[in-house]
Amino acid sequence: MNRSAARRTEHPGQFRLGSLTIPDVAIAIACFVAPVALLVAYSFGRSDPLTQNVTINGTLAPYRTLFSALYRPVLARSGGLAAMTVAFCLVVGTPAALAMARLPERWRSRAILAVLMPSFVSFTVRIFAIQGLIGTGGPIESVTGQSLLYTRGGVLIGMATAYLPLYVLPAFAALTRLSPSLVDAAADLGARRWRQTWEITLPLAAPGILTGAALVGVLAMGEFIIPTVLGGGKVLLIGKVLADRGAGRDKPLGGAIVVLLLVVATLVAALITGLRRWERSRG
Amino acid sequence: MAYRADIVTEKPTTLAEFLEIAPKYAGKVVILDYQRSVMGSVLRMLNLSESTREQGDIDKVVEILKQLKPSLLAISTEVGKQLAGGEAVLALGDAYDIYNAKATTDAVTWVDQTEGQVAYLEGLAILDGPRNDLAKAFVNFHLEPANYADFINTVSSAGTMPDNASITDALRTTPILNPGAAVRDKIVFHEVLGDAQAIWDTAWDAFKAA
Repeated sequence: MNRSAARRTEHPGQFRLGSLTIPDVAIAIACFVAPVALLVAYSFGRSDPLTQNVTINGTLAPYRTLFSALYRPVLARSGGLAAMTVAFCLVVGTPAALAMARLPERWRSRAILAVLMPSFVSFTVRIFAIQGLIGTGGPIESVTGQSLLYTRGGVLIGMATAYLPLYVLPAFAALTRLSPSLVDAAADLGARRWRQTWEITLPLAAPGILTGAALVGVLAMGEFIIPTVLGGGKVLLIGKVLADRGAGRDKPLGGAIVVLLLVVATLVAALITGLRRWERSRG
Repeated sequence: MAYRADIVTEKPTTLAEFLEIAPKYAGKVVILDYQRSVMGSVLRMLNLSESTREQGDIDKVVEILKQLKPSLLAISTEVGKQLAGGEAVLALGDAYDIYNAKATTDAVTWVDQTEGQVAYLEGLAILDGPRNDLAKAFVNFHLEPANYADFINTVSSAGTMPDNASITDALRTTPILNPGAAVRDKIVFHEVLGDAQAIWDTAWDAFKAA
């Protein structure tokens, strides 16, 4: 019996799984690693204004442009909008996830479906639908007398609507994994409902809540469609710079923006991992 | 440029007048999210080259646009829709977009600003390659009168085949897309900016980031 046949006999499941992961790895490399590597390489290059071809020459000029006095406020504004979106999701989405987790089993799947339902419609269609809701002649104006289109409030409504499901689902998953006996124990020891939630449920579900918040924050940082369509494009965000310049004639700047967003995402992921380890080490 | 004749009483004929009355209609002014058209128009107003490569010229334009910004409702690609819908009453936009908006309401009024206007010709450039014959065949196919008319009729833009009978009469005769000689004489076309494109990009972002 040759070596691979022997291995197959000893660990048949492991061998099959190993083979099956090859297409996954190949797809991940082709669809994620290679394009990102290309963008990283672009970020050290110069773009030809006519052909838009990039010559990679090791320059740091795209990073100098990105962190110049012109774009620093743009980065800060993008971070601010992402933080506001996360805050909104935490305030509105956490009670929603808690309520869903406390539903009887048979109602939970319906609640999940309700949260996911808007995602069955194209993102762009949803945003233009919101435009109709908050714009001139829309229901918001007819009730409040004020159109929210092209205002910060309108942008926040759009961001919250688009990103809330991304927050609620991980938070809900974490909350449903908690053992009811922990909350029961707290109740037996006399803790009121809000204290059970605040001191037992939420801290234990923190990894899921943080994951949802990080997911929303990282994606919101690069958002540009919602501020453009619902905010009127008057406020420049880094996602818009990426879409207008980075995806076109200034790919090196686009590469630098992508590298920055990846670094932010990696730092957030590392922070969450660190917090989880710290939480576990506390027992 | 364009305005809602049912609301704007001043009837601006120049871009300078447009900019002067904009604060009165603050929150109801929209401009096209296209640097070459907007900055080019301001350069025409200043009697400078619409395709300038001079940083000093560009700086003057940015200063003027920054003064306009507090009056803006949006920097948008939906200028015509916003004008037709009534969200905006003053607009800097493309002629074809305003022509389409006018179909919704006749209150939308197009103005050929007397300082002169900027225009662009969309072209298809073929880079040297192994199958240039296919690329040329594609371009020629696109330029066949019937196919070109399909394109023009679909987007309702001005075209380069005035005698193409397949283009609708409305599109071939509207003065918005077919201005008279006096207006045409003051229209200048964009030039490729080359390396100076970066100056324009940075200036446009500086205006939007302000």
